[in-house]
Amino acid sequence: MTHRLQRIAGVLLSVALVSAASASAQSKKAAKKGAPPPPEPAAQGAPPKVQVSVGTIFDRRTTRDFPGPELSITFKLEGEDVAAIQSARARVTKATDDTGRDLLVTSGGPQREPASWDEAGEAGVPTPKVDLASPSRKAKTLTALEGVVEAYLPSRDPAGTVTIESVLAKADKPLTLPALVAHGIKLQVLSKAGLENEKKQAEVKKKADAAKKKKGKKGADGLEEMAEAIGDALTNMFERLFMSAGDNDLILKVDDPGKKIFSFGLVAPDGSPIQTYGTTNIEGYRIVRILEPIPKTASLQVRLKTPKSFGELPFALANVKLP
Amino acid sequence: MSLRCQRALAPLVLFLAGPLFAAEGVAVTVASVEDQRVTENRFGGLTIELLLKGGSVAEAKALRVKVKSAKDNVGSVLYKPERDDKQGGFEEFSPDRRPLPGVRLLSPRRDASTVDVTGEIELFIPSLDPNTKQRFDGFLKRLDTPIAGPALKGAKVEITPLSAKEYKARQLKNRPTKEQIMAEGKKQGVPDAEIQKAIELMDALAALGGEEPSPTSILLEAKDPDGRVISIDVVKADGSELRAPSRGFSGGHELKLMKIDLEEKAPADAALLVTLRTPKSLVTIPLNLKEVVLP
Repeated sequence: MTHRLQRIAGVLLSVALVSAASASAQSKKAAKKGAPPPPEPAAQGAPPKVQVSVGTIFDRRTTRDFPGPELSITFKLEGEDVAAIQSARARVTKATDDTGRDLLVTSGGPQREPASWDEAGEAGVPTPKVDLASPSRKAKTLTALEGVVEAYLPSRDPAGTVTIESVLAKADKPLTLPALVAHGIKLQVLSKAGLENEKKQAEVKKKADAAKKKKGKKGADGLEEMAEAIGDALTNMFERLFMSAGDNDLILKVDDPGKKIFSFGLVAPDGSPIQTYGTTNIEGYRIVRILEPIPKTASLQVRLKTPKSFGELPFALANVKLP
Repeated sequence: MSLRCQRALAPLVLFLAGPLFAAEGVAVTVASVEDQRVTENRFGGLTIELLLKGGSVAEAKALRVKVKSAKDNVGSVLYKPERDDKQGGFEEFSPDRRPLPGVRLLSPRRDASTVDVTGEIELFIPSLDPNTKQRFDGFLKRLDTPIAGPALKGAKVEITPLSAKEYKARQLKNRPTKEQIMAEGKKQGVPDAEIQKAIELMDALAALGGEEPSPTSILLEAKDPDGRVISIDVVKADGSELRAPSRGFSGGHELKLMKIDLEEKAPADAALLVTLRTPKSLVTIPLNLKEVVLP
């Protein structure tokens, strides 16, 4: 496989990893039995003028355990404000087939994991997808399909997008922008050399911690082992970063205690978006995937979760024909 | 029957008994059933994975599943010969290989509960016929010239080891033009936008240079209209294997360009080992699945 093919495979894999990580994080929030997962953040903007309908239905009926049976529904978003939606995710609150089967109930528990955010791709409109339990083979329709599509519309709140111009020129220095500081966000763009430096610092810290623990009291073997394990984990994390980051990717060191960052994007000086292929999160670092070299004049957009930039699109569909 | 007559018939009896004996005791059961139902009719379908056990299954190196009929219990026909016959090539097989062999059919009706399938499974068992293995020594010294042998000729197979220059030239010559892709897409009823995406994908893959040969690549052109070639391997002069971690090909049975990427550069006296399917190496097992319950 050529280096470029490996890169593409890596990009696809990392996109999958991001989705998995996102779903995993959200599932923790949904741990309370029976309670629907809370939207994050609360959608407070005015409802966008967008209609939600069913796009594609995929009913995987299988005797296999993995991947198991599942009903996947991809929603179609249409309407006046649709072009402003950059990401969307759907949450179904009611889904029943015409035999009375509740499709929110799975063998694993009462509630499925919330769907991940779907980005507007080349088609320009996100197509959020939900996975439900498999309907009965005897069912012909879904009698009820209700829920909410959460939409992220950054253009509704210009203050919610912080732009860092000529971002490559600011590598390896902390970015002290008041708009980020106000949210408690610390951000730094790392060059490969900067990442190498971070790795060295982690190794030095690991050695120092190990030496410190050795000088400590006898019988503190457990602590020593723990410190070593932490040090190893840190070193491994940097190894993963090095392995994962491609030559063209943008590496960011992110400290976002309030989880205020929604996403990152790159734009050309004229404001046109530069195509990225997802983001990989590794501990406090994020890798923004790009196939082509980033132009020197490119700006980084930090999109924040502000109430105004979210909108909710409730839907209540009936008699949805099953394939 | 006289002793002389018995002796005369003995080879014939052995010849007939081999495949018959090998077919005995092979049990074919359903391992899994998957019915993928999609609102867009072009996708989806029913897949039944098969588990083969007993008899000579452990010796089989490839197989082909041929469906004769398939229908659900409400009368829908799930197999259309004109659509599916083109797909029936042999696939590599070993008892622990995954995914399992299977049949791919049209989706049954939603209100159907079972399906019946009939057909046959052809097992390729090379140990039944030594002529399945054809070895061609020193093929690297005769690049760009077809290798010859009566077994290949009898199977209507033509294999030409290629130099990198000739491989690239034939690759360029065989690559479908945009117009051909457009015409084929339209013939199959694919929307223009999707055809355009396919063309873009082809251009992108070509630009990536993934098909570029390396010094460890063995390059071949194969004409095999009846799909008789099961595999092509490269071995050292002493017969030991030269591992090939990756293989690539373009084209079909009529004309195929192949690139076998070896772990190491092949020595000049390396041999090409062509495994051919012969009538004697095939064992046919009936496939008769009744009332397979749909999930």
